[in-house]
Amino acid sequence: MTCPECRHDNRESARFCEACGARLARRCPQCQTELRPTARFCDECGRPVATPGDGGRPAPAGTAAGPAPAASLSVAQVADRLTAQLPGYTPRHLAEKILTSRSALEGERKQVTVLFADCVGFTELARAMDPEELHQVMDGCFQRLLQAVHQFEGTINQFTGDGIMALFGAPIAHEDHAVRAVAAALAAQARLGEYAARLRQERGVQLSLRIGINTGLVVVGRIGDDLRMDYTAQGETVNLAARLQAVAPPGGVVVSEATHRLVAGFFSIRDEGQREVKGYQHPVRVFLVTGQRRRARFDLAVERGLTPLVGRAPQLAMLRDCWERARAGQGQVVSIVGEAGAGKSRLAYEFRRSLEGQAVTYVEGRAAPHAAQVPFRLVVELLEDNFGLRDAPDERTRVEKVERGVRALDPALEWTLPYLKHLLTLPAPELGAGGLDQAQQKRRLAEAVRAFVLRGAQHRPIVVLAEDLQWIDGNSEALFQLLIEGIAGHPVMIVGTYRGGYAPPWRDRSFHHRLALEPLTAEESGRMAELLAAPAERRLRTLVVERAGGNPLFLEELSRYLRERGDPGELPETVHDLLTARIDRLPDPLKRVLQVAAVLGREFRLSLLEAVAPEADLERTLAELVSRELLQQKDVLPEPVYAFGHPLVQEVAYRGLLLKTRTDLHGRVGEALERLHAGRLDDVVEALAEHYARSTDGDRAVQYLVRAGDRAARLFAYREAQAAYARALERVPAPDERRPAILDRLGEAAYAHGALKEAQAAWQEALELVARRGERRWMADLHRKMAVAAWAAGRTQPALAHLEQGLAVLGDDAENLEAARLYHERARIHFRLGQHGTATEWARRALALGQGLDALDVVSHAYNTLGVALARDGDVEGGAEFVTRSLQTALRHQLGTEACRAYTNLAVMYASLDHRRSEQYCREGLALAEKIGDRLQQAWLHCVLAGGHCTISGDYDEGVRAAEAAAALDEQLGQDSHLPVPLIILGQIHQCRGDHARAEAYYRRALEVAESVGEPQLLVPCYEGLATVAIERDDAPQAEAWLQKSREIQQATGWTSDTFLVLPFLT
Amino acid sequence: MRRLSVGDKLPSFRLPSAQGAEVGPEDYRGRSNLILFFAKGMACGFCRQKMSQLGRGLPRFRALGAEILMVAPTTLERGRFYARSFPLPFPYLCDPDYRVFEAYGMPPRSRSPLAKAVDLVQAKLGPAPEVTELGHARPALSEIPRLLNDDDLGLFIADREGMLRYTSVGPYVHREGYRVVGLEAIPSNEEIAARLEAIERGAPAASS
Repeated sequence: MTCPECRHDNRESARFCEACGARLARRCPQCQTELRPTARFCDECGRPVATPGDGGRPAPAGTAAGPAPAASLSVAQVADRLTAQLPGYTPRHLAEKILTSRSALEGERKQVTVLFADCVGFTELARAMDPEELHQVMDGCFQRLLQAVHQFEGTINQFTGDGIMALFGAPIAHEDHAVRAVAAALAAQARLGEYAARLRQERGVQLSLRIGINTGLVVVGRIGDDLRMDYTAQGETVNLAARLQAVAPPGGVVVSEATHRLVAGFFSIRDEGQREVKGYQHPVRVFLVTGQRRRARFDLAVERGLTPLVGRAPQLAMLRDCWERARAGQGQVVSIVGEAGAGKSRLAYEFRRSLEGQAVTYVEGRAAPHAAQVPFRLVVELLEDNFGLRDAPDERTRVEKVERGVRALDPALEWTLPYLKHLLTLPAPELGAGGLDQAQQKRRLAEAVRAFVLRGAQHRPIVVLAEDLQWIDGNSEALFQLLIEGIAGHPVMIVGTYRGGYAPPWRDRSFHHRLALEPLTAEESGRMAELLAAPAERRLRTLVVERAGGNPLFLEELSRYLRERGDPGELPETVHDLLTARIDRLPDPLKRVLQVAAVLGREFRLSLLEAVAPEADLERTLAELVSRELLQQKDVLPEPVYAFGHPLVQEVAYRGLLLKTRTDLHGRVGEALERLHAGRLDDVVEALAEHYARSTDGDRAVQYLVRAGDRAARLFAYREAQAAYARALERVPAPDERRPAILDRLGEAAYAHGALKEAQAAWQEALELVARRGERRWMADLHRKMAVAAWAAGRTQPALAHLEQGLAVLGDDAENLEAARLYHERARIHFRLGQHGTATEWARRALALGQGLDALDVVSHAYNTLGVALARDGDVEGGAEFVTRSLQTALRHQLGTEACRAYTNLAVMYASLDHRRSEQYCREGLALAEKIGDRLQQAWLHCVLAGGHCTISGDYDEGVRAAEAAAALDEQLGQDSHLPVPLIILGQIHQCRGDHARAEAYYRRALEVAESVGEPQLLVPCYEGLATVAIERDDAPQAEAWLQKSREIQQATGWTSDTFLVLPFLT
Repeated sequence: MRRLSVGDKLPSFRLPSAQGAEVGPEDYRGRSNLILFFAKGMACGFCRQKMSQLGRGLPRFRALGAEILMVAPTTLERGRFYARSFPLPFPYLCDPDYRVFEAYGMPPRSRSPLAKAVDLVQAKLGPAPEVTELGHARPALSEIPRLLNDDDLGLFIADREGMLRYTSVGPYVHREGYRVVGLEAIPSNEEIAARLEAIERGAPAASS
């Protein structure tokens, strides 16, 4: 290419002269119009021109006029040409939106809706038409497609040859991206349908459009100056949309299940069932969109059935009050303000219902986010509602309805008709005819509407409900302004709803009232959750209430989602999209800071945020976020603490971050915490564990998780401890050295709060790992723990086997703590099995060894077992003395479980000696068991209390309550070694009241468990209870059979049934 | 119906004992002090605990010149079975139609209509434990009348002359308003022994 300045000969593709730097513009060889670098045709005269990519071949000389040979032009080439002009195709207002927000979007995970549209018939056209014509037709198609996409603020991301791929939701964020995509698809079909019909008539060619739509996550990449967005699809988001397009019928719009969930109700949709889709192993569920329905989110809620209104009584009363005044001739304007989902439409709905039966004209309309650019859109909506045009079949009917409506009201309003018709795009005389300029015309138009409204109000009071004013178009707003100025002395009430951030220009009017819809109180939320009755389980309901943060819509959606999909951790797409759009509307530094803050947690300190996000003007940014009600300032001193205004805002801001960004940030937060809290890390060990667990620093994550677990266990928060250890374990897979120690602690925590199965599983795995390392003493200790857990679960034989194995592993190395503990555990189990001689022997050995080693837990347990064995043999006082010693040892050295055991036994023993003392022991024991979270022992103590209620105070009802509580606990924990106890007590209570049938049922259930455990003190009361029930039925043989079983046990143990009456259940 | 009080003469009766012969308080007149225990009987685990308590105290009471007689509304046939199965160190007298209970001021006490209604509903409709091989655990029709009454418990101590020296009578569940205040009808063995000692010392009669 020759430089026009210095005549230097440059490469054909050069944009600037390499000799003088002058710009080298390509010009059309025919008309000399300047061309874009990528142009293949002159956009002035249509002459094909060579592109740099063509290898530098210039346009063939001599083809100055007439079409180029058909062979040189394919559909793809025409499409390329269109692609090259992409920036030119994006309307300026959209381009600006994208370019201002792009930096904040890059690198985000976004939920988007992807639309693929494909023109069917281009290839045939290419054969039948000359290139010029083909280009024209294709351009016509693309123009219509693009208009439809842009109308709903989607962006064209790619030309695919015969069609396009468009994105909704990014790079421009919209809360209703799926609805927009489907609306755009229908609009495209309508526009193209008209065009195709014309082509068919004029040229006899067939054209149609196939559209496929899917919704899912993408990671937004770079957004170029040409507005093209790079993205990484997650999963099948984009691919599936393309495949659906291929299965769509010509002229049809097909959406995926994910999209369908978001748009159901807004459109008429037919479920097409499962369809084979290319590239997918399994059939895919496919939906065909058949038409539009006019719906807002709230209309759908009404269709589904509304939940009873909770709260909002004062606001409703205020609306009623305004209405009374308006009706009396004092025009009123009321604004209902609240975040999305706060219940604005619902309040308006309730207000409307309260007007039922009154003489009132009620007109409603709604501004729509995708129509903020459409002039007078809202006013048109309202007029359509007023004249009942929405279901008018044709234009003629519409004209008739408008004319009849106006003339019936007042023939003097005839002058307004042309204006009203003009607004409603009905045939009307040209407005400019009266010699008015445009501004005057507009003014006149507004006056016409006002005259119509005010005259109507004379006839009957009018209520105008205008919803979603934050999306009102400028013309409608100006018209409202004029209308409102005129209503002061008229029975007109205008109710507007909008979200925070919009400020109506009429807000300073004296007759304007603002109703703010604050979040529901915790009590109201709870009531609503109850009405929704979604998660019956209390924990889930609390979770829903907490996450919804007082927003009724979120409450409903979360409940529904949980009911339908059962995952309490996930967010419904509706809620997610609402909040994403709100966050995406933030200018760049605000959004970035909000996202970093989201990593810190729901509440965070300024110093920590500063350490992680060293932004200039951080405090000002935070203040701005506070003023936008996204954050709240909780504390000022000793240092500022901020919290997210709504819990879900944090969640959604956090989810928007890329995984990698998140993990990096968590690592940085961890380091900052270590720095800020150096020397007192235990204060923040949970937070450290939390952040490192989500970072890439696995070692520190494990270290802090274990520390957090230890700390929780020290505070008796065993569930939390178990959870922390479990998370640590996830990070130390099998060959890791640290694994058995963490497993051991996890088992301890699980056992301590009664999770017997989990404890056994953890210890089992630890045992295998430790055995491989040959650490004998540790093995012995794990065997003992497994024995304890197995015994509690009622599995006697495995328990005994583990004790044997533990002692066998130790062999001669038996002068240590592990041995001592095995001894006392043996003693205890032998006692429970009724072998008190053996029990006493092992208890003595345990005591001696334990005292020598100063192992106080062993000492306490050994005294205990010695005591109960003695008592069972008849010396209750002597036994009580031993157990008292056990209690004292335990209390002195803060051995919670040991103390609880002693309390239980003392309470049983004193029941026959001194019932007041017995009750005292019970209460103290229960208090301690609750404090240390020892639920196994709680069940025991509840039962002693139950027995006491029945034999001492005679309060059966209390007894039943205590025993039922114990039974429920045992069942939940799987503590089969104790479950028969409460069941027996319940049987006895019912028997005492004469209800033998019920008593028998309880005894039977108790017996079933007791027989598998094989413990005498459980079996004898069952047999005897069943025997007495049989006697009361005069069934002597059956009674005799039961008694025989009881006697066998008595003979084996040497204890009489009287023994068990005096000391029912010892541990 | 008048409740017996301290100083009253012990009402006379004879009842078949589960262990054998007919027995009455007159059999002990002039020979022993007498502890009379009225309870629901062997079919109640909690009563059995109290019977066990008295049984354990018997050697001590005997040393203080006292014997125990127990009266329960058990049929003689059932009583015999119980006596065989659970040996008792004192006579178990069967009073299935509450004749003696009434003579001692303890008729089967009808409970309030409300309490009856609650029990009836619970018995027929209320939650029952899991179904066993026996079918639903609902009281048989014949059991229901018993559910509607409340037996009183009573413990009496009389001296050798048949004069009441101590009485403790009351419903098993004793309430003041809604509060359960418990039952002092069955004193501890210590307390019984103290009463007997007082009789042996010739101290004046006392009532609880």
